[in-house]
Amino acid sequence: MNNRLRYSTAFAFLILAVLVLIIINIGAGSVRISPAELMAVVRGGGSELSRKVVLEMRAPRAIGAALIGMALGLSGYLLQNFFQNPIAGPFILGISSGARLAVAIVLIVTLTRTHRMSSITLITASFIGALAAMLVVLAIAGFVKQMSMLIVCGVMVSYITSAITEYMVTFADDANIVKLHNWGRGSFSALSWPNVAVLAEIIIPCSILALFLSKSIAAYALGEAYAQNLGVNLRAFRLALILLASLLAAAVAAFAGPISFVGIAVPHLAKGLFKTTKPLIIMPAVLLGGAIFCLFCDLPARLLFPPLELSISTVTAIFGAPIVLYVMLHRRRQKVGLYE
Amino acid sequence: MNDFALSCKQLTVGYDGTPLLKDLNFSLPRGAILCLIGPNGAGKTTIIKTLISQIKPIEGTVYLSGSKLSELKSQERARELSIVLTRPVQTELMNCYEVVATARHPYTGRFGVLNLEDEAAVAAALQEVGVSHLAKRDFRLCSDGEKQRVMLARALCQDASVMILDEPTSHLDLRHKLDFLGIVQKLARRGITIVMSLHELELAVRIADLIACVKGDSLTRLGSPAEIFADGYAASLYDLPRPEAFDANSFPELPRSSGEPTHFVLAGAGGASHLMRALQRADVAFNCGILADNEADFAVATALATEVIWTRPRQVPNAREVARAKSLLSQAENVLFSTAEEELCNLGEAWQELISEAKRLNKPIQMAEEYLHYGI
Repeated sequence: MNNRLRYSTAFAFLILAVLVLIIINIGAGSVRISPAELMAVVRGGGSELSRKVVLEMRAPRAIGAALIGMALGLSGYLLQNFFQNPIAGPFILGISSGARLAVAIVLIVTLTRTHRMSSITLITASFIGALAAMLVVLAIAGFVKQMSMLIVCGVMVSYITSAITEYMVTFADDANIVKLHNWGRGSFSALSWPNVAVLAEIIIPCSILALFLSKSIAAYALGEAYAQNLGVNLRAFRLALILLASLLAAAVAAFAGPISFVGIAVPHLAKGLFKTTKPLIIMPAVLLGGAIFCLFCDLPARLLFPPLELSISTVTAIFGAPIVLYVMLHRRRQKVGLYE
Repeated sequence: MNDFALSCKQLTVGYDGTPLLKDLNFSLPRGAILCLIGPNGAGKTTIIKTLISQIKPIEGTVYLSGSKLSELKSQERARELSIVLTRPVQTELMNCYEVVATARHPYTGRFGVLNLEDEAAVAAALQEVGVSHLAKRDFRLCSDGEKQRVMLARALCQDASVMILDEPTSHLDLRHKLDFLGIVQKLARRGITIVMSLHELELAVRIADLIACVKGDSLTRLGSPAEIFADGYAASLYDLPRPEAFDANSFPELPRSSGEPTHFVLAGAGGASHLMRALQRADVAFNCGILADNEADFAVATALATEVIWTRPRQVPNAREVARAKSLLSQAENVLFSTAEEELCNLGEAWQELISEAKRLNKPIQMAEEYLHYGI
């Protein structure tokens, strides 16, 4: 079967790419760790320095980046599917704005000096802020007939929370303003093993649950009317989808800040590679693709201007925006065949 | 109630608790075709949305294959009821096979993977509707006619006993309308019960076993096509200005030309419809005679001519009718022969008299030919 071959080859390629990128991410940096050295560390040996660099810094960061990529890819896919909107992304429902507001409140209200963004308080705050935004959207979802209204609500929630945040910023001191700004640009530097463990505990179950939704997602491809006729419980489906997509986005926002473009670009890349929209194929594909994207983007972020780290959003935007542009232009050309 | 494939009892439908249509009652046996007709906004789509469980009935019950629709689990309902909506769906990277395969949803397992039985059902559905050759083609690249047939194959693949279609032929050209309905008829003969809302009355009268007229706040009439089209009812359903101008075999005409009639059309041997319509387009008012009331020209003449002289079929026109015709003819400025003079003469004495009267009065006589070409 032509398709089977295509799928297996593509998946093999993706899995390989993830592994290779993890090795490269662990290996590259001011302290070079060769693959051989890495193998030694994994087996329990290796030099003191290598062990420290690999086990305490690079490995958790790489695994964390991969997990975050998975979450972004999947969240973006779920939302693009649900809203039938090709530029929907994980944060379209206002998740990141809610998180940012919570972070701003914590930074400005708590007077204690917090160092870097890795404090538990900030992570918890941004997660709660993200979930609060999600709850607002879910509440509204119960009232609207048209799901596209949710995007409007999400955008409005974003504007409102941004306005409140900006208002609060006027009372903040410079250090906190800088911290807030840095938070907003996204970073993988807070990915320690404990954080990665929490990320995994959220992202992996969500991914599995999403896979169980694949049948309903496939039915949804023809629109709500046909999906409902086929037996899909629309209310439950909407709830599950928004919940999963938002949880994934909230987890990302909490531990790495809002990271743009990955969630928007990866689903299109996956569909381009596999030439299908079957959820059972594309969901694993966006998980792998998202991991690849983030791992790939973390390299220039870390290595281009050492010891400075570029914000990860900058890099993902440089790679992601052209992809989104290309996809939109390509769709324009295809639309000639579509009955409007 | 239990023998019927689909039935409603005292059904009231509407949105948000506001009733739109009340006291709907009908029962459909297996393999019957019901067409819903009525003006725009009358509520046909509201009825359909209620039948397919998209909105809840305000009152009353719908029974599907003996069970109450509201009590069926969604998966059970999915196996009994399939739909085809007006507009084809927007898909992405799906070929026609995959679109049809979505219908196996109520039968597949946890992850929706098709087994051999499902694949056979898809192939059979494509075959039955005649779209097997489209299986590998991207759905978006198909024409509207092809897309609707694929959607019909999809509904068939769902293996449901009742199929509900909402104006499925609205966007199709004539050929595809006929093809589509031909297939629908074939499916009904296989035992699938069909409910269809249609705008095209001329199609409803041909395909429906039962027609429900939706207007105002209820089903104003429910019956066979013959019953619906009797006594000009169909035209009044759409508030047409001249009810009698619309029956099972004819289609309403554009408004009659106003003013005093200047022409007299001599007809009776058929073939006068194009001529009369050309006169209407030129805004020329005319009288017409002598027609039999069972000929095709009669419906057109009744709609477009100021006055029509007519008889029952094969009856010789009586003296009064001939006199009236002569009178109208003498008032006209021009006389038009709808066919060759010889053919008109062959119709009988009455026509021969009219022809000689026209010549006696030196009326300019024109042949239909002169009005039938563009650019004169």
